[in-house]
Amino acid sequence: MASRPRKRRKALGGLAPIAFISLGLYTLWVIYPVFASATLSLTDARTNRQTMSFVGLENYTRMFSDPRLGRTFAFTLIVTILVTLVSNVGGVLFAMMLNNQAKNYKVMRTLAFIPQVLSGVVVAFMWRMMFNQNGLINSSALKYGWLDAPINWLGTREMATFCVCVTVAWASTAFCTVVYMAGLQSVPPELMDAARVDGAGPIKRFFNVTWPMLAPATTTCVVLGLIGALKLYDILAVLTSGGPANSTNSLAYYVIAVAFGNGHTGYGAALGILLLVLTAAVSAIATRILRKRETNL
Amino acid sequence: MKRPTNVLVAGLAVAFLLAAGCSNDSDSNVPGSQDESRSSEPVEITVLVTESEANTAEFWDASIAAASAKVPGVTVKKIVSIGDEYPGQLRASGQLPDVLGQVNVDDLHDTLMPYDEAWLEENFLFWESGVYSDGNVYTPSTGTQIVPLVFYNKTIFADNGISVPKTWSEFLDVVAKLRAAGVTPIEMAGGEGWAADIGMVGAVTTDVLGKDPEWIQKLKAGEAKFSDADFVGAVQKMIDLVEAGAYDPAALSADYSAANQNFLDGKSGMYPMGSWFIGKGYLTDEQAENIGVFLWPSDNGTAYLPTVAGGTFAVNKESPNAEVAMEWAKAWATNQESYKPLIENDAAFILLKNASLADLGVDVTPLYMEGYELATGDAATSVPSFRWTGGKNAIPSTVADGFMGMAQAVFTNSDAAALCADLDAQWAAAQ
Amino acid sequence: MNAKLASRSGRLAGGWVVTAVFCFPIYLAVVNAFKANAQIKSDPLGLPNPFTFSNVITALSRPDHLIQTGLVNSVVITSATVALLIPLSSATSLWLFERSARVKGILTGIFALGLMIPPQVGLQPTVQVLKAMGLMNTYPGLVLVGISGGYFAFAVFVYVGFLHTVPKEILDSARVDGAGDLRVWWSIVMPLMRPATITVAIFVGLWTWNDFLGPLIILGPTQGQTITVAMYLSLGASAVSTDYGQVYAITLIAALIPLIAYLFCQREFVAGLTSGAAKG
Repeated sequence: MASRPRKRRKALGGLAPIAFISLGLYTLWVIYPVFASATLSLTDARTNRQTMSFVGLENYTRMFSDPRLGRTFAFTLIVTILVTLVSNVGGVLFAMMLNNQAKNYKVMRTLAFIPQVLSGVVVAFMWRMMFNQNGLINSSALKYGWLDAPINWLGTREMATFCVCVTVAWASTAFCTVVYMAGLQSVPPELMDAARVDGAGPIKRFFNVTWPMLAPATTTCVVLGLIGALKLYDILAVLTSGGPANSTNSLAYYVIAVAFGNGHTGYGAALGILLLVLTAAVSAIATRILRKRETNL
Repeated sequence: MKRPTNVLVAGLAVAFLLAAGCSNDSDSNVPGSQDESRSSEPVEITVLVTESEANTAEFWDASIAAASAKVPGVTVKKIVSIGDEYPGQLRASGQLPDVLGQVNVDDLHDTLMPYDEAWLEENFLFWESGVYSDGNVYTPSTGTQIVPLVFYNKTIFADNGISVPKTWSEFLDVVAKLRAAGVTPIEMAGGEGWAADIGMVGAVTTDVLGKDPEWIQKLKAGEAKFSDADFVGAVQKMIDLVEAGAYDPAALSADYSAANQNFLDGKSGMYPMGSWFIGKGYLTDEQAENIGVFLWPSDNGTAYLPTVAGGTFAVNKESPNAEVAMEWAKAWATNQESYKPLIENDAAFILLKNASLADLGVDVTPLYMEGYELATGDAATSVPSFRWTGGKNAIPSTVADGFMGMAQAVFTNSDAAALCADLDAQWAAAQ
Repeated sequence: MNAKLASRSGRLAGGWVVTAVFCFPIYLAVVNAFKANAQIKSDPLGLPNPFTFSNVITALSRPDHLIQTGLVNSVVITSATVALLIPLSSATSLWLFERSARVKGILTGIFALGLMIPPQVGLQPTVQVLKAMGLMNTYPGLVLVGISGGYFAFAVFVYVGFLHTVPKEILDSARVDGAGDLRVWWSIVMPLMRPATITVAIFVGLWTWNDFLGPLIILGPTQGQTITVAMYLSLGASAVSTDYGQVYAITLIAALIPLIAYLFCQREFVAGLTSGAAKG
């Protein structure tokens, strides 16, 4: 009996078949679609046309005359940068505040981590109910006399952008807090004590000891924050639908609107490739800079 | 020891079975309908509808059941739309339903099945208004709507000594008086694009299409542009209204139901909205008594009636069940009982040859009759309602999107010419 | 001594204030789900008075059963995705771990791409492939895309990262004893990698449960939806958007299962999230 598994192993080739199936599936569902999209982006394909023809880079040159793309691009960058910044600063501060073994703080941590298990749709509905014209913020503020007139939260380009940032940052601050919390627990207490003995105040201790030790956590939070913000879709679908006046279209949202809503398959594919290049560039640059910082320590 | 492969295979099999067996248990229709599309067997067709306060889930379920009863062997799977972009999204992902309510004919005409003219002639008045540019009718004109009408609060008008405006300058006076009286002059559901643009639809329809009813045809032929003086002028009027403080400061955060509520609560004096608003789905009889209605004012006081051509269901000709779907759509359109709730709740102005309001025994408010007389009488010149109308004057949804966005943009951008130039660029991109 | 005590209780109070402000939206969603609409309007911030289940009952008694069906579908799709992904990705990882540095390098690079590609980029061709295979609008189709896309790449990173911490002697001595690759993987490596498996299960489970675009497009409207999309479908139409109680009730129902899972397995969640995030 002892020799049989050996034979079977040879016949089956061990793990290789499973690995090849997985690699095949991965190629089919990840690699192929990207190449197929790149090909589509060179055609004038539309859902309401039976035929498509090769148009070279026309879809890419068309981007320069697309009246909506400029604002879409700007909005995507604003949200990506602001959300990454706010959620990292907030996450570090929040994690430092909650980094305590007492029971009270345990409960606070449990509460503070909740947003990161909620879906974007749930998060967006919660905030939409507050930002509406008669939503909870306006109605309570008017009721208690904090405001004379309702605030147009979702109505202007600036306010709607602000509201999107608040909503996204809220969820990602919770995530960053979790990650920074783990980072803080890896800071050796001796280092802190040594700094204290050297007479360093709390601010100096933070910048000289804590912050450098958090470098790996920062890399994680920043890179994931950037990629997450660039992919942003569900929160926009619920909170603003890209409005008002198409001022809160993220690039990811616009790709779907063009390719699926308007049926402009070719141009939508080209916008998708633009999104891919942007994401690749941003995450490569951020990873490089942050990893360098980690190794410099 | 367990054989790892067996465990793995069993695990994978269970997981796949779980996924495959996971079915929609709300679906009371015949399962496995794919095998049953042979003509003598029962057929399941999919029908896309838009639900609203007036056209509720119960209304659609009942009217769909009534139509299905007339087509032997057909069962219907109802799909509820989530927005104007939904039919396009379903088409792009290869899931366009068999029968489609409220579609943009201009976007989808190449995949729609024409209705036959003899049947249209037999059943509908004015069905020719729904003819698309290629000469076919893709949605039968079962009824019409007027978009917009301007509703006003009678008490607020009376309290401030305001009479109904006929010209644009009188309208601006009313806005100023209401503002001075501390009432929001114009209600607006600015949070939703389709509702935000209703005032601008009024201005464009009156000032551009009123002057030249063939303007959209000229636009399609490249002989007219959004940058034309009349169109820019209409947009400028919207900017003037914003600057005159005609809207609530948070109007662009208001969704449709909130705006309805504000107007009915007397928070605002006027409300440009589609004619459906006078239906019982939105108003009680008591509320209707306090509401009056007038047409969007033109510069010289000429009355124009912004009319929506085209009707309810279109049929997807690429569906394997297209013939049955067409039969079903015709059964729905000729089932008179279905119109009663449409008239009462959604204030549809029906255009049936074989049934009058009295025949259908509907219970409507005097406000409905006022609207109905406006819509079917000849006190005003009928012009196509910009963006809303079907038939040959329908515009592509990308441009419609841009137009809706412009109605929100005027709150922060007062350069009418630049806004219109943007719309021209979107028109060019849609061609 | 007194000063120290004061600063400690000051910190505690400060912590509670910040946490309370941060969690206020959650508080609002919970209390308002159990209030009548009239009270939501007149007293949006207060506790329910009287307490009512009517919003929840209305949500669950929709004629199309969108919410219940959505919950069942989400549970099934999430468990199927996790149950299939874990064996596939862990076996692939062990295989990859024992390849030459060159093969490893190339494949790791390809998987890194998969982590980064936004799902919107390849959605159109994905739909076409699913259609060609007859899997569009089906649960197996959605699960198949789920187990082989970016989630798979993520799982491989977690597992390969973990394998570096497994002493090589354990694998070698098992081989000497004559165990085949499959047995080494299933009986020896899998139990060792339990923490990594928990990480993968938590991440992939949450992502699948919370995914919006995938089910919206791939499942489409005819098959019944996941709870995340069902929530959007039932609340997206403006007809119900003034029924605030309804919105809050459905929000609460949609969030309930991940929330309960999180509260009960908090330690695993936090550990899994942090170690997984470091790999991602």
